[in-house]
Amino acid sequence: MRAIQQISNRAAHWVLIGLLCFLTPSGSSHAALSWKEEALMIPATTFEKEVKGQFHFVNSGTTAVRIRSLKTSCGCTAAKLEKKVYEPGERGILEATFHFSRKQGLQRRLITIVTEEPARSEKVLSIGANVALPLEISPLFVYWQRMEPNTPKTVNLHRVPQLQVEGVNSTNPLFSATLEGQERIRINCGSTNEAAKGEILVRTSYPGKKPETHKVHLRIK
Amino acid sequence: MSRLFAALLWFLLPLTLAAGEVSLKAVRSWKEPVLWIDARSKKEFAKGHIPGALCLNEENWESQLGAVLDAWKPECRVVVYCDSQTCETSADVAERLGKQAGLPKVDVLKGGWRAWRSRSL
Repeated sequence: MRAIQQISNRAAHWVLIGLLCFLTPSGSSHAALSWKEEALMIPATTFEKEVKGQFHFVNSGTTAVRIRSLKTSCGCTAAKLEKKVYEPGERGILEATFHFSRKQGLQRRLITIVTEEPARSEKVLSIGANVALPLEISPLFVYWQRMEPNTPKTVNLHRVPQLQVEGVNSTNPLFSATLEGQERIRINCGSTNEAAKGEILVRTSYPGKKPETHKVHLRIK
Repeated sequence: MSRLFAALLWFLLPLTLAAGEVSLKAVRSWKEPVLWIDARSKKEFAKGHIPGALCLNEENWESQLGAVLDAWKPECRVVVYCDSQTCETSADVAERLGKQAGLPKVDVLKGGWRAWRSRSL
């Protein structure tokens, strides 16, 4: 009899626990930030210093979310929010600025947002810059061997959209250059009888305040 | 066992050549003329360098590239060096000389300036 009573007590105990679990909403369904962007990779050139990005979010939960902290992976990255508490359904924007080094290639930094919901949670976002040379000239050195046929040579231009090639000039009258569209330069050499050197100066419109001139080196060896 | 393997790697790694690297012994065996490029700073270059080397690095690239191209000949091979085994500057300069300037046969000296000095003493 005593054994039966013990079993029924235990059963009542588990039913009570189950009921409590059912009635208590879980933290994740109660309050949560849903992010539209989690990683940004922004094109940039070596003449720029920083990129700025926006991460949009919404509180998709049913209770308010408080931002506890906002950390970045280095001093070169800054992140800010308009406020600290976001009500259910409220939208927000995290604005980030990344000061990148002028080295070419992909660079990426992290932003960690810690929120106080029913339970503390962390979200890691990333902002990056894809740093390119505004104008790549390939090759930037052209040569003819002495006495070889003076066949014209071509160099290719690869530019960012904001750069226009304005024109080309030769520093040595033995060489002449023609700009073909914005994609290539055709270089002619008058004669290869003697060793000679020169440069083709490539004038551009970029950056706006002080446009750069690039060089193609020419030699007769 | 793993310690033994790690110790073995420690001794063998300096003997292996990465892609684009060349040993001083190999350079000395070449018949072609060698154009040495010193990718260290101007200050380090002034203290001492391989005879005939030209200083070219990321900082002076624009101003010094012309001098390098003047010295270069189609028949020569180019070897870039920096301070030591762990220095990456020489690989960067070698890559730019090969890809941007279009020079063929550009290598990096394994062990850099230290390797040259230790073999020359």
